[in-house]
Amino acid sequence: MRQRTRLSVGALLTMALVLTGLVLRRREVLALALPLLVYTGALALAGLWTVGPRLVVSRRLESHRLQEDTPLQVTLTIRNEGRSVPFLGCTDLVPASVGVIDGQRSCLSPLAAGETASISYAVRPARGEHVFRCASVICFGPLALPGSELELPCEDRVFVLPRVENLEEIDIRPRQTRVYSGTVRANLGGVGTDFFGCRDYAPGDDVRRINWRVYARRDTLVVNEHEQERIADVSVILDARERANLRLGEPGPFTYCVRAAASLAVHFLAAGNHVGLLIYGDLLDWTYPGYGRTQRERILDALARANPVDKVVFEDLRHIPTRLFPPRSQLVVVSPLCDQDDVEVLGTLRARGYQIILVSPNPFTLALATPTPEHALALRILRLRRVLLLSTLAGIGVQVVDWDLNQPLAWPVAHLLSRHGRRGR
Amino acid sequence: MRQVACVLFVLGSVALSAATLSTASLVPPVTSCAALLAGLWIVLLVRRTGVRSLTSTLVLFVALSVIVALAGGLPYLVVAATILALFGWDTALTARAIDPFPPVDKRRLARRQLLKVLSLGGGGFALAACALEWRTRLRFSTTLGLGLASLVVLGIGFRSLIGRRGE
Repeated sequence: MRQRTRLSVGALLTMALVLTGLVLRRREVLALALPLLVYTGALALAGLWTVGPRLVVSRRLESHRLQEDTPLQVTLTIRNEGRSVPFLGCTDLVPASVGVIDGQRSCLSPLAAGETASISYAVRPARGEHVFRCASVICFGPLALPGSELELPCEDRVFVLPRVENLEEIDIRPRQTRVYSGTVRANLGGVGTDFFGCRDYAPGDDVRRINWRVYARRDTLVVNEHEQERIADVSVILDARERANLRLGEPGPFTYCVRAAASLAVHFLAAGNHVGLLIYGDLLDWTYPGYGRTQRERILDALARANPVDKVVFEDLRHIPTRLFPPRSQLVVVSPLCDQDDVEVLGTLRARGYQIILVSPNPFTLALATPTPEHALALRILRLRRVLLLSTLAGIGVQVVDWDLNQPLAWPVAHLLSRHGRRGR
Repeated sequence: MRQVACVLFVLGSVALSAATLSTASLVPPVTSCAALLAGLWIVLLVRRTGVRSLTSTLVLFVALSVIVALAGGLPYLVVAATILALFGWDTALTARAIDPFPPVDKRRLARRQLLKVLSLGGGGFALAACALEWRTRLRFSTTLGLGLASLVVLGIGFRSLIGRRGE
């Protein structure tokens, strides 16, 4: 394009000078046109020299799926299958959302016929899907005269999954569990590790489970029961409403919400549970519940694509489709919360028999470093309001994790949701 | 490269001002106009503005050169000024084109650019000098043909420029 600009401008000026010289019959003006004519002619020749270069571009990404904050090495190779190019500039067109952290994404060098040039650089892409579409090439003719400019397609995609934090232990107690054995205490007597209670001996009971001390005292056979451990249905709900995720600082609270949802879902899946994910915001993005690694990847894929959206329909949490969740199962809500309506909705869910864990990233921990007195007062009011909302929820039996975003999620989770943490309090 | 573009254009302005020394009445207006254009050029380069602004400045400079040539300015200096301004503009465009490349590679291209300025500029100047020295008379048909060909090229050039803006 730049070569065309030069050529057009050169030709226009030359011809304008020639015409002026001819009309006015002044050789001085005609003489002025000659250097421009030489320049334009040289440009046209350079354009012919570099016309249609046969270049083959290929890009190699170190990985096509990676976690947030992981550097990605990109290597772009350009091979000249035509005649030699005196100077070839090649720039890899990196998506705007991808930041180059090391190396150069462009090179400018002579490229003889059959030769190969390569560019290597590292990027740190943000969460989401990024498409590397093409490489921009500019060929310079002899004497650095710009020739053809091309955009050579070489599409590559990279999928950046949210960062997953290792969580030690989360003790959940849903009222209903699945029939398969797992790690969640089911509030039912049977085979397990924790003592649950005693009952009269029935024929067929294991003799080793007879409580001999009770037999010695009462002369009746009583067997010990342990609490059954099963897997549970866990539904993670990510609040992707823009009004709940205030844009304070970078990364904003939503990034933390996504990381928390990913960490929790991965943790519950690793414990063998049946986990589903609902992203509530743009539309009801429901990842059907499942087990194992495939489900882990499905959930992480859905979370990688999640973005906060402002939709009137989903302005409050009233439209959470409860029919998607198994009755009396465990719900894990990840939301910064915003008003009393949200508290009411969670209260209704609790009343329907769901066990609820609310992980609430505290957006005010990301607030301005040097607030004005007005900002400070507003922040104080908002903080008080938040404390009030969370204490209301705790009062109706919701397990609340108020997450200070300056700390890792594992800390409040270990303190508030693990068995040991609760005992310590 | 930007500094080179800047120096070339400013030298062009100085040469154009010097070309008016033969006619004293032309010195103040032409010098002030040339200084204004040189100042504008520096501002445009520093602010890294688009190609259109740079091209407009070049066109203004060429127009000023024509006026000086018609008003009886020293023809060799006018030609030299035009050549310097033209290659200043070309260098500025090249600098824009190679902005994203590493500095080491840019230096190599800058040497070629200098070679280009010297060879094409020198060639152009020599040709213009020949034209100024050798007096020839064109026949009416030759002049008409040349004029018509210029008009056609002018039309094509305009169309190409306007068409690209629409893209």
